[in-house]
Amino acid sequence: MKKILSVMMILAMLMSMGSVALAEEEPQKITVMGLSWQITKIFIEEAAAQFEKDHPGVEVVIETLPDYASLPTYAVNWMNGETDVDVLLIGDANNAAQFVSRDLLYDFEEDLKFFEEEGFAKEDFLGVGLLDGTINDKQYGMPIICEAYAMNCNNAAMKEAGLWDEDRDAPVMPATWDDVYEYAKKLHKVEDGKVATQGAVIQWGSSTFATLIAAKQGMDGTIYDENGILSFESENFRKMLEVWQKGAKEGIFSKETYADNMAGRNSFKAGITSLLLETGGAFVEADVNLGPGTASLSCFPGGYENGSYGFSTVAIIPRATKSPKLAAQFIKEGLLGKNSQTGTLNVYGKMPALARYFENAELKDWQFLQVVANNSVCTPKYKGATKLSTELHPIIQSYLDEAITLDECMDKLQAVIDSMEKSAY
Amino acid sequence: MAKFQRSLSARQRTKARYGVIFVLPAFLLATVFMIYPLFASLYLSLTKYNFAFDTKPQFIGMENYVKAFQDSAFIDSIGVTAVYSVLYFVLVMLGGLILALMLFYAKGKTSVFRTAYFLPIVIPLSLSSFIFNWILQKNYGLLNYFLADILGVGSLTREWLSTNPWAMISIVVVSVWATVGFETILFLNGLQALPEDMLEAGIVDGATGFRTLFSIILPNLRETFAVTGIWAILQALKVYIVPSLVTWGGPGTATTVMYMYVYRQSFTYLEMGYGAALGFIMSILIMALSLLNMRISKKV
Amino acid sequence: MTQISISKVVKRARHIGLYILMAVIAFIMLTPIFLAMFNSVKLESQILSANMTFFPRSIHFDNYQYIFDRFGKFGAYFKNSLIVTISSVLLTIVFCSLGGYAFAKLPFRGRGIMLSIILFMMTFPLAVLLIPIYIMEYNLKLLNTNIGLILPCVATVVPFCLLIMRSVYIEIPDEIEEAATIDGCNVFETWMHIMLPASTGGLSIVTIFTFYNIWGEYMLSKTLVTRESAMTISVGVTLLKGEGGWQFGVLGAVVTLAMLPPIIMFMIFQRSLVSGLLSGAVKG
Repeated sequence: MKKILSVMMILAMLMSMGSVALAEEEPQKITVMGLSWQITKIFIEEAAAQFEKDHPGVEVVIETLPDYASLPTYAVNWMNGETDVDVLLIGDANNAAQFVSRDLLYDFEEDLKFFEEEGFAKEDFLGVGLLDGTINDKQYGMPIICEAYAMNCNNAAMKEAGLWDEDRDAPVMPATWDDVYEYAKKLHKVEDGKVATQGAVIQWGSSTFATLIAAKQGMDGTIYDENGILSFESENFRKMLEVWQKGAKEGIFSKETYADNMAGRNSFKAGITSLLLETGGAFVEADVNLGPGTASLSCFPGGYENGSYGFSTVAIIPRATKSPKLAAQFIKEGLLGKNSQTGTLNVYGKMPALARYFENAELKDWQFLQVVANNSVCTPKYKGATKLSTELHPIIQSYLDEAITLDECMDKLQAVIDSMEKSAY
Repeated sequence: MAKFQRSLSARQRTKARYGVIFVLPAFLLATVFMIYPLFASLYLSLTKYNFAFDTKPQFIGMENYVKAFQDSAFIDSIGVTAVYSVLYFVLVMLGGLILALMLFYAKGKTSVFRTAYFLPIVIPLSLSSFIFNWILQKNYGLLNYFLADILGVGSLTREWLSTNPWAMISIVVVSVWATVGFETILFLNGLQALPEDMLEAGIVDGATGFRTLFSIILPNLRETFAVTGIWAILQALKVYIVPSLVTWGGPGTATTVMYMYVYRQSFTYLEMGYGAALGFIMSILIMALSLLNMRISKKV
Repeated sequence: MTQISISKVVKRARHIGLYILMAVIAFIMLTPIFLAMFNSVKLESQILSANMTFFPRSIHFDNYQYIFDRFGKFGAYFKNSLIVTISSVLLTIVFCSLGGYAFAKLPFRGRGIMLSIILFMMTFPLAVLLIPIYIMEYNLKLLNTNIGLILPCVATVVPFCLLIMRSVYIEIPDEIEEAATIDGCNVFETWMHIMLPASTGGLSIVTIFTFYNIWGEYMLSKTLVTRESAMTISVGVTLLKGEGGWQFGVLGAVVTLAMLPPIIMFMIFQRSLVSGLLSGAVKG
């Protein structure tokens, strides 16, 4: 009897050891998925090839996601414990709400001990990036590339209009929105009734919320009220809206972003627009299109001191994956590796998530933007935060088109915030 | 006599039997695959179910439907859709008919023109919307360039996509451009199916051409009008891609149509229950109009 | 004598006027497409430039190069599109010409209700059904397969095609059918030998409609297919899109290439559109 028992115990032990060993033995294949531009701009194909070379026997498959509208289908899969993707890149952490609320994601800090390795401590990252991937105080999203709102300037136009700061050898920094208006007015040129040079384009399209956050943070140093709730109400903010309306009416501030988020970037890139107030990486595109030295960076009013709006593309790892460790390792060596991080900075104008790679920047504008990014805030991780990207821009647009008054505009903005579920996920 | 009647009813019965057999495969193809999703949506429409935050649907009866009629943004989007639909419907029906008549009356080689009119519809609408979004841009668009730099009338340049009423006009024009070819083909087919002797008179007697058009041709196109009408109604009320990619629903909410709002509820807010309810309301609206169209084209 | 020749001149003039008008409209319709084609051979810096032009100043194939560099998977996309589209077209033609005939000429009980249900299927916004369809296909293990795309695609086009075929058959006079019955044809033979040949115009419309609709179908494809090996070309081309939108030159090249198959299809079938006149001949 004892014998049988001991044999059984040994068997059980062996079996449990076996299962432990099996758990340790992850499948050596991972699938990385992202939008096509992310795959290009983060150099994921190169990263995958290098990773396969460094770790013989490992296979990295890259799949392209057409758009984020199909994310719920991934939740369906993951709830059933299945997945055909091990690392998924998403542009807005609010897209991850459906996964987080069902506990479908690994927490990089607790579960994967991601920050314990040297060189990957929290201090090594750009703060706003980590913040954007933090949901319910957990690190569900690992920032890969970061961006911050700033003022992209056409150098030649700025110099010609006398808006060049010789000490900094860079465009002047506006102190208030009145300054931005004055600059734009000087830069704006009309010939035969048609705009020849557009003074400024402000992102008033579907990313208007980003502009509002960037502007408010720059002017007031915070986007929250005394209770810690998102609020746009302030004297500065109201003044700014009035300046915007004046500029829009005169055509100095273009409304072309209403119908296309990229319109400003495209006309800036073409050299038609002199000031572009949106993501700070856009100036690089003008350099690519029109030659190096075409454009450089200034900031939103107060942005250099108080920061701006920051956001990042984050990687998530579903709990349904059978290779979480390999996935995390690929993020570390591949996506956060030197090649991808400096490449995306110098070629595509996306800031690296790891601060140390700023040293490899070829343009000094990046150190400038790093300062801006360091103080920046991201969208509040509220349950109802998706409303920010759908309901704010029609209100701002109606105000700019003089369909509603300033008070009505502020009330409507407040009403959206009030109607949002502000609890965490 | 009795024998004849019996054989007639026997034939009638055979016909009915064949009718069912003939219809069934198509009917099943159209419905079977959709039955589950439709019933699932019907159930969801009676529940509160936010896909992001609710673990499972919670039954709330008709609340979503009540909510829909108090949702001013949804009502607004119906209003926008109505304006768009009237403009689009009239233009695409008239345009299609006129183009078809021109092709019909022009004896001789018309295949080049036919292809030209039809071509826009083979380009996926999402791609042609991007092209027009670019053409109509203020600062680097083709239209303003054409007006200012080629014709020299810079004062006519506009912000086509971000001012009223040009944004609405833009999406109507783009939609008509993209779809009028198919209406043309449908009308052309209807015209060509008309008995030749009926037309002979009209074509030979050029002087009364317009009268033959109104007294002979159009009344005999009834069935064609039923089909083209339904198609135009569907295209009009289910419009989604053009306003989302050409004007992005702006300025303000001036071109935010019903389908965009429904899509936003389902896929941006992930309010599956409410989105499904809005879907059913939308569907009933379209259904009512389609039936009305069938009635009218039958009676006229 | 002179009167006749004058009226002939007037007629000729009117005819030429008609042709000129048709040509002008055709030119307007084609301008955006030409623009896309011209853009496809420009460089990005020529398109986005303060002094832009409609015609390309010089011809570059960089955009096509961009596409062909990423073309590795396009073979698979193309194959999938072809399989999905052609099987859908075949299914739709066969069953809709049968069903349309029944709706038009073979009265049976429940016809009205069936027609209403079919109408309802057309009106429902597909977007709302996407997640339920996904869950159903997930359970049936049809995701990432061609058949899993064919079935819902066919379901979206069949209702309207039934209506087209119904209207075509209704317009065919009953006498022809009766003549066939007297000749001893049963219902199936009547359909096969009399009705089908008389409806070539309608059939080509159905073919064209189904082809361009399913070839360009996007919403279902991107939801039900997540692996690139099962993707169709309509979703595949969107993977060439850059951040925030298209590069205009690449878009031009994509449009130029994407137009080709449906245009070829149209060229083939528009001939039988003309021979739709045949149905008139049968009637006469």
